[in-house]
Amino acid sequence: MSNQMNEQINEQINEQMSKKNALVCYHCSIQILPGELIEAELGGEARPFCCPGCMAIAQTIHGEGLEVFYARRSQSGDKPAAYLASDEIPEKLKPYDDPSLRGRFTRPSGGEGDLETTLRLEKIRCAACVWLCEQHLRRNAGVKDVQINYVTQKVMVRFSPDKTSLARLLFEIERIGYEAWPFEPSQSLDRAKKERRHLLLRLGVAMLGMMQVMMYAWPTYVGADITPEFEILLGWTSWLLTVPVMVYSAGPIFQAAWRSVQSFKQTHMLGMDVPIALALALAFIAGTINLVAGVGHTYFDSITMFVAFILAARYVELLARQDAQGGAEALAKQLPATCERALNYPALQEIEVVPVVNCNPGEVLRVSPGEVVPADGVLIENVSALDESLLTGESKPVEKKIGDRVYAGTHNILNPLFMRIEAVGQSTRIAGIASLLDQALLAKPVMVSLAEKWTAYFVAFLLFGAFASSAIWLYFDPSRAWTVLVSVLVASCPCALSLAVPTAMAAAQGAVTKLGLLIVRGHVMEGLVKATDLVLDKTGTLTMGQPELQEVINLRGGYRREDALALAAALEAGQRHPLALSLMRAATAENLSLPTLSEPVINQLGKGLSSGEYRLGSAIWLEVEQSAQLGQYGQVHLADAQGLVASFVFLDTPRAGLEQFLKVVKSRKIAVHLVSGDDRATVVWWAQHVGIQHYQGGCTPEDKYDYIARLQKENRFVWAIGDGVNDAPLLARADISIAVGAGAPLAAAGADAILTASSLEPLAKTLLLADKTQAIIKENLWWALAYNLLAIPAAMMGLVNPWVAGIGMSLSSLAVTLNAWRLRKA
Amino acid sequence: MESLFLLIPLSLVLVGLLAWILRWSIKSGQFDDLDGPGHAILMDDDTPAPQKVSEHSQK
Repeated sequence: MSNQMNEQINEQINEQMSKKNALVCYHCSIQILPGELIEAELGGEARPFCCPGCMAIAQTIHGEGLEVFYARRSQSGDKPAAYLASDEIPEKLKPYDDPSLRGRFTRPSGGEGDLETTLRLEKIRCAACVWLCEQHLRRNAGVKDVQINYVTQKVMVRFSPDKTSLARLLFEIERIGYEAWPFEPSQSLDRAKKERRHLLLRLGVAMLGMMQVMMYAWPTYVGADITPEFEILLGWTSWLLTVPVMVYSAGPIFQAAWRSVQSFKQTHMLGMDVPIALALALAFIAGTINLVAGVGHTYFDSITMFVAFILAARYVELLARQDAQGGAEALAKQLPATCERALNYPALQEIEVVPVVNCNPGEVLRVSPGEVVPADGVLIENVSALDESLLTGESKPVEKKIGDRVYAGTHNILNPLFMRIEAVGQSTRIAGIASLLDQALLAKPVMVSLAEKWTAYFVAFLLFGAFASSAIWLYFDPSRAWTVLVSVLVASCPCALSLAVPTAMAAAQGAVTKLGLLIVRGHVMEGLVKATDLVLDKTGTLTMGQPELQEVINLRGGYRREDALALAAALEAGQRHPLALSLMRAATAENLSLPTLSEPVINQLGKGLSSGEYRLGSAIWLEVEQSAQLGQYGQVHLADAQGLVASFVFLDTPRAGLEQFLKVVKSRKIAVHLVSGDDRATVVWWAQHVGIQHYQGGCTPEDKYDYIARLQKENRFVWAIGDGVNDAPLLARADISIAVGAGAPLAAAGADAILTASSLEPLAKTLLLADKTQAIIKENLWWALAYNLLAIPAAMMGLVNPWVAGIGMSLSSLAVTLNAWRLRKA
Repeated sequence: MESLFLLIPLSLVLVGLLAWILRWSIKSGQFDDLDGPGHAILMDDDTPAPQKVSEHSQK
């Protein structure tokens, strides 16, 4: 008993000790290893730092009196690069002052020779970060103006080229712990901004018109007894306000409807805008005739309200759509802007940093470990391993020998390599995938939404009903035919109908955004209900795409598991291989202090690492037997002079929430397919491991695209989830697609929605919510229809006073909105 | 009631004025970023330096 107690107390003391000893870096909040502590006095207090980079950043921030940032930020930063400690612009940024790049990224502004540039900020985590960037830039000499957009994280900087430069600006942002890359403002972006502003103005005009016309219609709603001359005055003022709403706000609707009618011969389909335009035109003409004749309702309130609601729904949709990046912008983000070119290779090992755009096929580039290959080419010196997972889906790094092809957009992770360029820019493999993505978006089947179908039926029924009843009246009493035609058209409340779908969609989208799914194109919620097939990518989607240490086996007697792990981590320190990173993570997670190695670590290319008698690497090199285990990511063995010390087994981990997600999917009778670029054996193992019947391994992006196209030919409704560049065409082609947010920007460009959470669980919840949304939309549409079926005959028979109709209309709209509101709680 | 003959045209002028202000504010980019200004006002660097606060409280 007392022994146990003692142990417990000892443990507690140990814990307290370790907490006290655990110094945390003032800037990046990571634990400082004992040997690396740097202290500096800032704001009258000694602050601990983990590296010169962090200290330099904190000193810059404090030096400018911006230290309130540390109190306001909600998340701490990443560990910065070491070169920030000096005030020199690093080599990799210098090419931005080269006239070829500067001309691309800056434009003249103002008469004093100032330049203007747009930068996109990276590593932004909270509003405090954006604020810090803005304040820091403003304090730089030569910076005339800074405009920062918190939503898009873009900064517009106007500067004088005599006092500062583009490279200097980029470096200044790096100096406070962020990254920025200049952004080539394309015409499409300008167009998007214009489109957004125009629609907003149209919406504003319609809203103002709606409010004012409803105010003038108030006497009619409440049945106030007003004299005819005021009725005429109110009527004509309403008319005056409705004209701009009809001409300016609803103008695009009429144009689209006209185009749709013109192309009817080719398409044999009438767009959604046709019934809307027809209803608007008829109501306006009827209202105007009634106004001139001085009898009957004028309908201007209904018209303005209808236009305002339609435009509001379209504006919300436009914002979501524009937030998604275009393919070109995503491609630019995937590739570096500068690269290291070897001059006079192989005679001299001289390196110059140049913009990638200035490189030509035939030239030789050096790519350091941890960097992205900037162009397609052939490896000519130093074997290395490249992470091609984003491009091909292959989960393990690919060993590259001399003469092997390397592709732009892949990560070099092992050795500094030299390559001869074969293709740059638009002729690279990755650019080809990007153009396949654009094609796929064009080929994507257009989904006729439920609401559009219902509205089309409803309008058809309404038009038929209105003309039929007026024809009957023409036979019995020609003088009343016109009144009946119009009263049927307008007594049908278009508001509840037009609100039925957008309100439910808005509420559901708000709810799923909170869950961690960002909807980019509007039809996702509806599509999820219809999906018959789910196509999943493996690496990065089904699995996390990075190995995790699963267990330590073959441990030699006398060694503790922790000792072996610490030793292996010490050997791997500074390596960028995924297995090395995984070992480091495992060691950090267990709070192991790494032993200092007596001899330097030597990287035995392609085999492993050695330091003195210790060797860490592949089974073949260490001449040990490796028990083959399918589905494994790999094994690494640690040996010393006496032989094997331990083996480390790694496994790619399934994404969190996968089991639950697949359960929900299967319960809905959706067929699940696993389509991956990884080798067949691994794909088969994973498919069986998680219980997926249909699978295909070793796919190129084109194969994946064809897989979907084939399913779609069989009239299946395909839902796809992926993350890599190789998934981009597949995501764009699928009926609905979701990109995993942490994946390639190019994948997100083709997708309908982006999963921002790291777990798949939100998708399971979204599926259930989609059902509920569909149910509520149907309820809303039924309600609108039922109301109309009651109101129209009543209006036909003259049983409805204008004010009763007004109250009925408002209640009907309110009921629809409140019903949709129920979705927000999910 | 006759005042309506003046008030209603006046309200029309008012609506026109509002539409013009809206157009101006949209064109000058005030609706491009709806989140930023809200954060910017919270992050303004007008808070007094911490040491001054402690001096004051010691008095």
